[in-house]
Amino acid sequence: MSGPLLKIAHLSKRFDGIVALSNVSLSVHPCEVVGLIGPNGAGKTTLFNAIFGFIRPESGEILFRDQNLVGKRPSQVARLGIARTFQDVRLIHHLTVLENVLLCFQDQPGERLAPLFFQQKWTRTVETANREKAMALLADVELTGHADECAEVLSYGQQKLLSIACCLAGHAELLLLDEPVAGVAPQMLERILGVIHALSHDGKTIIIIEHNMDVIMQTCGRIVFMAAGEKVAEGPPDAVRNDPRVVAAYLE
Amino acid sequence: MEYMLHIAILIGIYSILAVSLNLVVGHLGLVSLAHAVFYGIGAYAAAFVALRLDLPFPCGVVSAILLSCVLGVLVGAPSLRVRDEYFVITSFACQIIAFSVFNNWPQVTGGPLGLPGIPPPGLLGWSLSSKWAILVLTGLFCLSTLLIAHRLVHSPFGRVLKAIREDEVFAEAHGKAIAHFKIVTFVISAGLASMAGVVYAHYISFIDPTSFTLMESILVISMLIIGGSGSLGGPFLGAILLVALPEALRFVGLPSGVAANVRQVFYGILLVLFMVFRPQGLLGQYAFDAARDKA
Repeated sequence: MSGPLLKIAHLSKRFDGIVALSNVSLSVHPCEVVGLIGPNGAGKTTLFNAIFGFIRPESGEILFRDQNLVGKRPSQVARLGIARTFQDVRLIHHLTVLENVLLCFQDQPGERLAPLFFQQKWTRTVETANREKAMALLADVELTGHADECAEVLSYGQQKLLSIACCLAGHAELLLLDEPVAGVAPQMLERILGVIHALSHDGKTIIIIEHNMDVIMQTCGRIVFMAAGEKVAEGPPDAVRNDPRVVAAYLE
Repeated sequence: MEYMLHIAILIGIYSILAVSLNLVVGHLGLVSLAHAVFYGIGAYAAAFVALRLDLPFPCGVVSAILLSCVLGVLVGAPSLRVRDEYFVITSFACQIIAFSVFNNWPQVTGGPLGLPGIPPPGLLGWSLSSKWAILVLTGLFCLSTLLIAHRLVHSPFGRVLKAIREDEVFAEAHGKAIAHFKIVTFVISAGLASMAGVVYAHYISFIDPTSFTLMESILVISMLIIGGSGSLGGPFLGAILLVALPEALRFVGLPSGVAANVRQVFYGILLVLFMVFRPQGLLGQYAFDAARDKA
């Protein structure tokens, strides 16, 4: 595959007259790790929400493997192979850690009535296989020991790791990580970074929103800087970091 | 003895209603005020099939379930897409509409006069006219309701329901078509409730619109509040308590005019006490709470 995996063209969105996204264009190629930076209110999370179908842009298009995502529901976008985490970590707190991962597998026969009642053997086989895969994913993020605990008892950093494991259960090719290391202890930060590096090594395409510049510099091959809903600068980490517009925006 | 059997049959009928409503209230976290609609549809469909079409009992069961499911889709598809708080209102509206239809369509429902003379259920040439036979039949329906509910809840399907209950955004972001799961659950709940109606119609042998009012929907919700929603035993316990306790009050020796009012007051006090001191009910896992945090 040579073309971009994700191609955003001329995307605009307003909320009650406030410009949230203004003519944003961005291409992400397979296996790339792109950092999305900018001050609060720059439109970074809005861009994620637009890609995922949580909000509908007024104009522009979002192509994922040449399919237009605009107008699709979030569940449809997820099934196409995109997964995301949320800034304010979202998980199902009443389910166990393992069940949270199990929930996120796609096309489970046990979620449909006919197999659930009439093809119980198939349903069980798939569930058992998913359980094994889920345990492997938990091992990747070092949460195996917590598999049977309720998700709510995990520390904040562990919850962030679990939400990444949930994204992987769905076989997503493109991961949108919204502040994956914000608010976690330094040790946990290293652990989460390790996981992200491993993912990028495995060929996942990743877009990261993050305020921690060190993390962005270490992790991303390319940085996109947004301010007031517009893409202001884009390029290799060092170039963007020293861009006068970026410096100005951060010093303001 | 006959009286005890009567109470046991009523408990069975209300258990079917409570267990089926629990799928929507306890597992989806949506408060439906329209459960008596499907109870009524089941009863009227069974009565119509037996009296007007003169077809055997199993045909009545099948048509009651089918009709109820179809109506479940018609009611659920538009109203489950709106926000949770509004669902309470739309289900309330459905309940009002259904009551008017039961009350004002004499050709089919007999209007306010109801449909008398519904025969006892017949199966393979037997007529189940004794209370024991009806009790066994009710027990079977009750058991199948429990088994179906149990299978649904303890499965990947049930896992999605728990996720929807707690955080729709998370479920949606991980590829779960939420509206679809809500409608399927609502329709199954409607289909199961209709079985209670079938048993009721054939057992009492007379039905009229007053058996399927908003009060009846609220009674079933009360069973969930007291027994506990979200668990499998809770609705069952709620049905036993709310059918048996008022009957027990009969024997306290109050004059009959006073007794009916005392029973209402008793209900009210019980509900208030539960909401204040034990919102999750006797055996429930979740507090009874329609307005959850959903960003």
